[in-house]
Amino acid sequence: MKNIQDSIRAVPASRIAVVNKTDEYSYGKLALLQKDNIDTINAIRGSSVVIRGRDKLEFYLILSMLDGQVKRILFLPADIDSSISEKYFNDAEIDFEVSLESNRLSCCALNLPFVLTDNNSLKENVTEWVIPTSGTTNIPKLVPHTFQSLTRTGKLDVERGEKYRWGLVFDIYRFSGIQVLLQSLLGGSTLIIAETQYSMSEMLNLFANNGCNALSATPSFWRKVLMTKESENLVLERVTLGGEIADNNILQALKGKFGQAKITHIYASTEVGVVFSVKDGLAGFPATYLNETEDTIKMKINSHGVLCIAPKNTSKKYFSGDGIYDAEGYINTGDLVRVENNRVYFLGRNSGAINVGGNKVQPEEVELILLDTGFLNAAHVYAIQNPMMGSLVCADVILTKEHSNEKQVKSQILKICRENLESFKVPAIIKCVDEIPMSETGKLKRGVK
Amino acid sequence: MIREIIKELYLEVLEQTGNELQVLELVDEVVLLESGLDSLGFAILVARLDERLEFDPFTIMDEPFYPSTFKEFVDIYEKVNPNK
Repeated sequence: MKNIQDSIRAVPASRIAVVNKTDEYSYGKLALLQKDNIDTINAIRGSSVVIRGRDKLEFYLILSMLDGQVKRILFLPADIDSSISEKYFNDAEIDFEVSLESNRLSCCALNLPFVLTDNNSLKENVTEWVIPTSGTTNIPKLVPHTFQSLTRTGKLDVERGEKYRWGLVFDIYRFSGIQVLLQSLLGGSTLIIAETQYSMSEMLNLFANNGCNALSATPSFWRKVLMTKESENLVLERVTLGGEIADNNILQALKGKFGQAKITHIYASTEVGVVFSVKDGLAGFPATYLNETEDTIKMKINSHGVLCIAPKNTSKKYFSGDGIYDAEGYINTGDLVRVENNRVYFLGRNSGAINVGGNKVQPEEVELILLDTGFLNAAHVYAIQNPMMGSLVCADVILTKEHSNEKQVKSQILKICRENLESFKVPAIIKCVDEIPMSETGKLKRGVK
Repeated sequence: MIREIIKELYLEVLEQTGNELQVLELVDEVVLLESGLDSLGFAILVARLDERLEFDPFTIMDEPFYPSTFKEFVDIYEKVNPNK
């Protein structure tokens, strides 16, 4: 199978492919939708297009129509800054921005005039998907994929897949959401789409009302689910965790709540895809995974305690042309690990980046705001572990002599932080200290405390 | 005692995160995620309580459980309290 339409046509037409609160599309209707829009598709055939910040359902429908028809699709989530978008458009040589209203595909030319040449023609009905990494520490990198490259390990099994109804809470423009979309598509399953603006109870009611029995989310999202009464109405057979460290606490809590479900935590990256999944219900992964086998991706722990992975095919590059892998074929994941009793545990990010419920925080950014307040001589921002969010931002600060009223200063600092930082970046705890430890090179110590 | 400390810090975190109480009073049946604090706020509350009480019930519980009402939240702290 080369593209999404090939896989759609392998599923019985009457089966429901995707639903949200108001709409429902069967696999047959998805095939028809492409037919109905064939004139517009012909006009942009072989071009490069962008889907920018549209709703998740709209994204799903456009992708299913255009995969295999255009040369390239750039996935542009709503949270990408518009100044970066322009750069992406140039890099990816985008010709059209596409959207869908009342099942009508429309395109807006960004790069006139579009002329089909050998250079921009479609090769063997395979469309390039350009997916941004989730990096919030710097400009997200663009990673090229195709339907084929992302579904290599997934088998089309429309008989087994019939019973699954996947809930989608991840961002569909990013690898994690695309993974859920593809899993549901390859199984001929139903995808239940919760749009970004839905509240937690709206999401869970939508899932329960549509018989959702499979859900993939971050550990932080799962903790929030467990805090709701609506979770009582969910009957899950598949529970998947990804995007953050899955600790024993959340794994056990999920087992207690959804005892009959198969609980899996997945380690994946936009660059490499799914590296491995863990099904034994315990945190970390067996150290035997570090030994390469036919079916696994080669991994090692480098001298800094960071997990490095080396897929068999290391020819892939970032869209910019920069290499992803080092000379030995490894990519440094930046994830610190520790081996204990033949099990490998994740400790956090080597860069010191803090993952607050799936949102990454660079400590330096928070430190700059803290120091800018004028109340402090020094500031050190780091992660503390937290059972609800995985990690929280904590700051050790040294007050200047003129500002010694701790309570007053803390509240003023917090106010300034709130005005200048997103809520998850504002320090949860501020500790006034006399000294801040430095490394031998005179830098603040990063990593896990 | 613990209930009062929880209430006090709850209100502090509410202020710290720039939120407002969405119910008249913090009584037993209040649904946590509808009370004014979001999940980040609760995470901060748990961290602040850990700082004050020097224990975090969520990491020492034998059977992990996530509360949905204020009563359940307080109960967890009272039940697990190692200093009682």
